[in-house]
Amino acid sequence: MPFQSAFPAASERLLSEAAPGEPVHARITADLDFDQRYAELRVALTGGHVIVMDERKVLLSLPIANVTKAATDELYGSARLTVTTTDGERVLAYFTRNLVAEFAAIARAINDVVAKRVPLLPTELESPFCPRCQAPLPERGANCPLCVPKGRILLRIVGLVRPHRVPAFLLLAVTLLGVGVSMAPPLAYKHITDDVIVPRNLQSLPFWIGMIFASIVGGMLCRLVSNMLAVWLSGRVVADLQARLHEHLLRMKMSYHGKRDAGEMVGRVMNDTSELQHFLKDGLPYMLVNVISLVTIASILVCLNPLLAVIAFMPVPFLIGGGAWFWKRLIPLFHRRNNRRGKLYSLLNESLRGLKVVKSLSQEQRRSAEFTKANNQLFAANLATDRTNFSFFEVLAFVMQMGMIGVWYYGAKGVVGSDGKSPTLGDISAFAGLMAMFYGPLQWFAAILNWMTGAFAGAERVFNVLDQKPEDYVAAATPVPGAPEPAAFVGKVEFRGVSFSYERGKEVLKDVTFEVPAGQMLGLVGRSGAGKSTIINLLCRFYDADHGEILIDGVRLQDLPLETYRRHIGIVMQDPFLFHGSILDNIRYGRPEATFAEVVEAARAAHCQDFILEKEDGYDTLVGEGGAELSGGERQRLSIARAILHDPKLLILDEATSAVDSETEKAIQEAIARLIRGRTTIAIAHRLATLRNAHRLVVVDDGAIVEQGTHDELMAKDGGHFAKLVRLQGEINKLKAEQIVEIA
Amino acid sequence: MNDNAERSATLTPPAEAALAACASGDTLARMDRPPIVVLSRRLDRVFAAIDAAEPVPVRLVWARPITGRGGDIALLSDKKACLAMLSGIEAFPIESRAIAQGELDRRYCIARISRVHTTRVDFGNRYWDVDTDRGRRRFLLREPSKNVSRVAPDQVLIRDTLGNRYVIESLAALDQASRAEADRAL
Repeated sequence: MPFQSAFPAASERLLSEAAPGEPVHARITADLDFDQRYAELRVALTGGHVIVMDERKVLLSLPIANVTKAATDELYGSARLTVTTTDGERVLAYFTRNLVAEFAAIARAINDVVAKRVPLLPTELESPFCPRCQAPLPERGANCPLCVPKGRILLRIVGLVRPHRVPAFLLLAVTLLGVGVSMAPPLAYKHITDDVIVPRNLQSLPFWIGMIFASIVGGMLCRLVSNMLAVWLSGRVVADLQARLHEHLLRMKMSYHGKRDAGEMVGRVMNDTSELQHFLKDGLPYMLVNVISLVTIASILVCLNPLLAVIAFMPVPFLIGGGAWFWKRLIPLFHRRNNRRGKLYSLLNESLRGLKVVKSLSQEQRRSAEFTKANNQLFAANLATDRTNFSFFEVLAFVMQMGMIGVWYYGAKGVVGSDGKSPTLGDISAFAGLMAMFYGPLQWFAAILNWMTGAFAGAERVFNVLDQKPEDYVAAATPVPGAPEPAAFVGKVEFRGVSFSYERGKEVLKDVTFEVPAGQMLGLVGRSGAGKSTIINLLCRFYDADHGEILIDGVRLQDLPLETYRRHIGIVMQDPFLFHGSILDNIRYGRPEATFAEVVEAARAAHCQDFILEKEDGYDTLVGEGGAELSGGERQRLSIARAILHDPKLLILDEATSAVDSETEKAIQEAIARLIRGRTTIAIAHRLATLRNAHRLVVVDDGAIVEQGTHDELMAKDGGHFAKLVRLQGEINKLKAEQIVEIA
Repeated sequence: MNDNAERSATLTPPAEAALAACASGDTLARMDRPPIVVLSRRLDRVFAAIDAAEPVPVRLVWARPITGRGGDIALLSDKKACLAMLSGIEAFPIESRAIAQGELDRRYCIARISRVHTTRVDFGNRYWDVDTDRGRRRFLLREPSKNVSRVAPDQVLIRDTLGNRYVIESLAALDQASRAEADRAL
């Protein structure tokens, strides 16, 4: 268990001397000393003290009675644990960012002890290091890329083919047949030389020529069929995988998506899987064909003439080793080239997308200079890569020629010296044909291995997503005794001592408690970043609270069936998202089975009937990607219509009118007034006047509730937060109005 | 109390001017005169008296921690409001400079890489094993395009996956083996 592992004996002795007889609630080792050098310092929380020690002595023993508050403070490249005492603020320990989550838990535990509560420490905390090799992990709890056996990834890739066994087996069989067939011509050359040309006997010539012709046709057919099979199989596998990934991503928790941008996820679904497709289509068959070919050719060469075979094999270590050596140097050059190409693309993209800004600020020359610089850098990277690339293949070709020369030299000597019995002239010509087939793939082996590494990296990232735990739809759907039937939801909401942090150590909600009776409206008020939207995120169960409980109709949110619960929620956001499709499709997005008459009714209620019908295509008007073809106010009203049709028990309005002009706002306000009737509503609004009708207001500041009450109660509070905010907003509005008059 | 009210309660008019300049992104050069900021410490906390006003707890930060360490310094309140901005350590009175420098040194933990033992690139992850002025360290770098800043052609600032910071002050000054290793992983 974290926080309970004993310190080394000497530190334990120091600890028991510093706080004799006191229970030890938590132990933790910091990885920086007070000069922020990498060193270990031990911190212990006992019943009465916080104790900081190095290996030899206690550096600080602070009575809990003197502490009023503990916190972690993130610095640049490190962090620290601080306590506020009756004398002022003290730093107890510095630590690297690796330990932020652990020290955040310690700070919370200290605060619990200060408040005379039983300190609550997490029983499990995912380590940022691999438990096996201790290497840093890409993120806490992720698989260690160094410890993932490559063989296991290959097996998983092969496992993707399992549902398509028959075509996969056919592919393998045709590939093997193709390899066998391709061996025939060099052997036929041997026989034509030894049995036709040398003895000057044409009797068997048609047979051998026929064999060469048949093998050429057979090889061509095999390649055709195997290519078609490989294309089908890789395409099918990747299409299945993309569908699985898409569904999995939709079911992943918001905490997962919150740390990643959509572009990264799109890249994972499209690029990583397409890398895998290339590998399955080209890489895997290439590997298969060439490994089988190499083994077969090597066996044939040994059977034909062991001595010449040894000479032919001599360049092999140089080809493989040299290939690996070169590729190790080539790969960083490829990376550099790709980075520079990416930079050039992004410059070009920015120049064109930001053309108005560039022109209006007369920065054309500067942009051109930047582009030229990046262009020259790419040119230099291309040159370095290609130069190395060419040299590499020339050197390999030279090594191969050496093998060829050796075979011809010793072969010719053998033919002449042994009177053409062993090796025969035919052996030499077979060797020449087979060696070309033998050396060819070897120079690419290192490249294929690197390619395979790239494909494995993509596969590993894909598997990493698939291995992430999705939202607990199934478990949460298990009926909990006392939970209301989905149809019986009335929408009473209760937050009890809820705390939450997106990143451990940075608490954005602190002990939040409030209640909204069913059918009433609650207004959430506060500055940007105060924590209002986080309350909404928790209520929608996009994230789970770290501490405390959220109750819906008296039942813990985690005990409610997630999908059904979310069907009872309707959200109107500041910048609503519309899907590419018609207005009709978007209004009935949450209820695809709704009739047209119901859609029209919802559109009327949301005041959007007029603008919809004014459009040439009416309800069939395509809204464009993200609703780009509509104005902000139109999008907003469509999202209200969508919410009305969805008919939720619990309605969330997140800055629903902040991005529209006054006239549109009036129309939207009227639509909202109809929408909220009889529903539990939680509204966030910048324009405080719009919350006048809320039954209750909750003022949030820095993650904590600082005031709550009715509009009139809060306005009556002298020096109260809400009254100040309203006054400030009034002053700003007045100032704006004066400025407008002045300009006019 | 909101920020404005908090500021008004603690700052004298010249400090208000500094604050206004700070908030508007203006530079001190445009102000009549820079504020006089006297720093003091109580235990581990730094307090600033701006233009002889009552000392308030502050955090000192570099305005440009990547490209301008050693340059402009901002003083932030507990409510994250910028109370003043100074052009550098020299802008503090002599008796406050050591406090300012100490506070900045503690706030910015950037390990200087002196030797690169090994780097390993695996599945797009770049593992570093390095000697720094703070001791030996193993760390993981991903997405160099986002997490590596070339401050100067020869100077590289690295942010690892957890947010720890490292700097190679001069690639040219590294030994040849270290340079080759660094080149491979950057």
